[in-house]
Amino acid sequence: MKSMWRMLPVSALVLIILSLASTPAHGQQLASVSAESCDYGGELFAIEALDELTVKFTLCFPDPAFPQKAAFAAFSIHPSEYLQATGGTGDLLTKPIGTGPYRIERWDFGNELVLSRFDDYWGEPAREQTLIFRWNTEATSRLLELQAGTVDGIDNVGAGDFEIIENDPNLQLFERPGTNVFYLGINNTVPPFDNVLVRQAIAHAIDRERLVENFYPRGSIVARQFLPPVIFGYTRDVEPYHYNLEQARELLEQSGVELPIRTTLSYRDVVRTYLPQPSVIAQDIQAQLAEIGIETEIVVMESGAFLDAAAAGQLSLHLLGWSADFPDATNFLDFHFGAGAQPQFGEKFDAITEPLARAGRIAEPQERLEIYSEANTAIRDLVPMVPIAHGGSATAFHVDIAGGHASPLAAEYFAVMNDMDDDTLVWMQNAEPISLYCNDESDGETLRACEQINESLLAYEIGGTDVVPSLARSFEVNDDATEYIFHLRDGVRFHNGSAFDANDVVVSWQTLWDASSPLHVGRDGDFSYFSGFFLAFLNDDGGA
Amino acid sequence: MASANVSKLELTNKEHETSRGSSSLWVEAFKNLFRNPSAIIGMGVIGFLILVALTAPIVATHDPETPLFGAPGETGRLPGKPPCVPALGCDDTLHYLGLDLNARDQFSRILFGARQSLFVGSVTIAVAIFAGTLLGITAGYAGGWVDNAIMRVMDVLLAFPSLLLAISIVTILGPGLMNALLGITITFIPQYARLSRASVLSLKEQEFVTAERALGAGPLRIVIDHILPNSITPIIVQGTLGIGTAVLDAAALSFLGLGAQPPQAEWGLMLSEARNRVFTEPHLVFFPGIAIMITVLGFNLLGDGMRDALDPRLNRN
Repeated sequence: MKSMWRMLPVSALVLIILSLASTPAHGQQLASVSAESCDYGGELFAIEALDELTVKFTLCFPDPAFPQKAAFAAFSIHPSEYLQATGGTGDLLTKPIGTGPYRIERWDFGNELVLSRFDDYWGEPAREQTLIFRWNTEATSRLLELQAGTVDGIDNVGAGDFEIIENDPNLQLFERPGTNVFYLGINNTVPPFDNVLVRQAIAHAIDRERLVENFYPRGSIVARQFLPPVIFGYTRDVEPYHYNLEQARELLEQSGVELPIRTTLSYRDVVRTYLPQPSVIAQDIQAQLAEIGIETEIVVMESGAFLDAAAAGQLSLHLLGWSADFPDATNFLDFHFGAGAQPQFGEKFDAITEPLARAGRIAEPQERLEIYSEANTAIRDLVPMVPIAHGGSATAFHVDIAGGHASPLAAEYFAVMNDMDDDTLVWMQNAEPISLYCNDESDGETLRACEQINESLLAYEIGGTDVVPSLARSFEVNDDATEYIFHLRDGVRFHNGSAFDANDVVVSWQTLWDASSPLHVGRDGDFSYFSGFFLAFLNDDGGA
Repeated sequence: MASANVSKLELTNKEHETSRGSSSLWVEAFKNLFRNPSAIIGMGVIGFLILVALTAPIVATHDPETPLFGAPGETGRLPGKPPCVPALGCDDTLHYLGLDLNARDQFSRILFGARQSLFVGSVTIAVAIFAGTLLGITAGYAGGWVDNAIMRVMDVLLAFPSLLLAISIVTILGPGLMNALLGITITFIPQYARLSRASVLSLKEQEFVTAERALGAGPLRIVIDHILPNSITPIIVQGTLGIGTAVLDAAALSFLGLGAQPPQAEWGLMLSEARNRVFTEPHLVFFPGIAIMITVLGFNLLGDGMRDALDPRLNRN
């Protein structure tokens, strides 16, 4: 952690204008923060409070997905006074103050997190007085607790338990559509995979129906393209390769490559929604590839080493996946195939990078979709990877819980749930939240807890992925998607009774953005979602 | 001159007597072995396993490495399908021990797994006995700094827990059945080096060895003709017991992902793949586990029986 003093000279770069010109209702000055130029490499240029209830974001380049990003739980709004009082860490991590339907009652570490209804909530108040978060890593244990009635809802139903829950009249099951993708990555710098015909042959040789049917839980679907159907940018008109061994063999023959091809098939032995049974799925793919004369040696790697090697383009064939952070094509496609992507699949193709760059800078959805159709077609034809599955998962609730659901972004919203039996809702998930200051967290189990307490400018619709108003009741965007003006909701109160205004937005964002801010501390100071979505911190001299 | 000739003649006669005596000792030992119930059971089990390993391609009902998705006659959900024997009332395709998680026939995999286990067990021990005995005899017979140098290296190897040493070796060489085999072999060498050195030390001061030396026999001849035959018994016993341990170690390495590689049919690997399914698909863990147990038990019974039969101090007659 850097000391404040060392950072002072750098912070001279920031122009924190505490303007006296406007008319503050609380006798408060309006905050703003701006970069000197866009040379620091990030997406944000300025954040200004135009008046007490209006905030303007100026971007360095067009970003039509900015609202999707701004709705994410890692960009939630905290009271500026509380951020300053806590110094951006300490109590902020365990006793956050938000605007959400639930406020924190007590966190009994290692045991349970108790939230209670916030009566002054600006929207529909929570249906239950008390919401309790509990956790257990074992799917079978979670189900046992649900069956015993000690919890009202559970996350991540075990693959074999779907039918048990469906056949139990006391329980209800909600399948969560997969907003993820599992793929077979092909590195085109490793011969003979530099030959597109060989890559296309592989695409024809993988029986994805067989994989999904036999090894994935219910609710999983066969991947037609890299993007899951629920994510913006998915284009149904792009026909995927169909399983056809004859055609695969023919393509291999045309390629003139000598058979058998001997190579490695790498993966990490880590269970994810997109890869529920790593070793079994890897072996089935190995057997399928052997059918067309590609003999693979399975290499199991340590998770971190595997990700590093994949990103560095050191692996030949490899099995990996991706889960949505925010529901937009850029989160999937640009990260993997864009001009700035890692060399995971080897050399990049202009036919893919060019439309992706174009689509990322257009605001009009229909026009964007047409370009994504072009990009998806190019990805299909050039086969940097073979998309295999979108893995599903499920939540389960007691039958007497009204409003139970599963969110495709794993952001279940408990304020709409009602327990007819009593005034307490008990939810059991996989793991304990790491902290409750989610602006510096990236773990899904953690984000879900935060989402009940703190809110962002925008939100995702309950049980869906569309962006809906939240602390901002509306926003305007200019034609080239570089300026966003958010109109904030009036009369919103924080849990401590203080009023929500534009300064809270500016300071909450500045805390994330400005590495030289004394509040840029958090739990470990990574703020990985911010840097992932907006590319760079302001005043980051690399030491933070 | 003449007297020397006579004495040599006498010695030769004596030598004949000894060798005749030793061969009758072997006969005696075999008789003892066949009177020992645990040795008979052990030999029966091992004989059966060898038969299984040899006839695996004929007896197996399916290819051990091919998933049966879409194969004729297969119905229902294939991964982890429980055992089904039509003769016992199950009206589905024949799978004596069910299917594994990749829809491969487990009965066939167990049969082919016997080949891997027996191969690893016998090859590792054979190589370890050869190398260990060579080192041990050299050390014991040469003595001095040669003895010190060899035996201190053996002491270092013995200081490591054997499985840990095997894991380290395989980690350096990279996973795979052949590397696992090499790793296990190295961990077994010190045992045989020590055993054979101890025999040599006690034998080389015996009068018949001194006599042989006095007659001008070279060290190689003395070792091969006299010392080796007289010190081989404990090594054979130790070797038989060692095969069981080697089979177990190989299974452990495969379980840890360092030995046999998928899709090979190897018992330890099969256990490892199904380790999370003990409660949902118990047959996937039960049968490979039983197979390992029976194999190790067989070698241990035979080893115990051999020790009883070959150790003169335990001679019941």
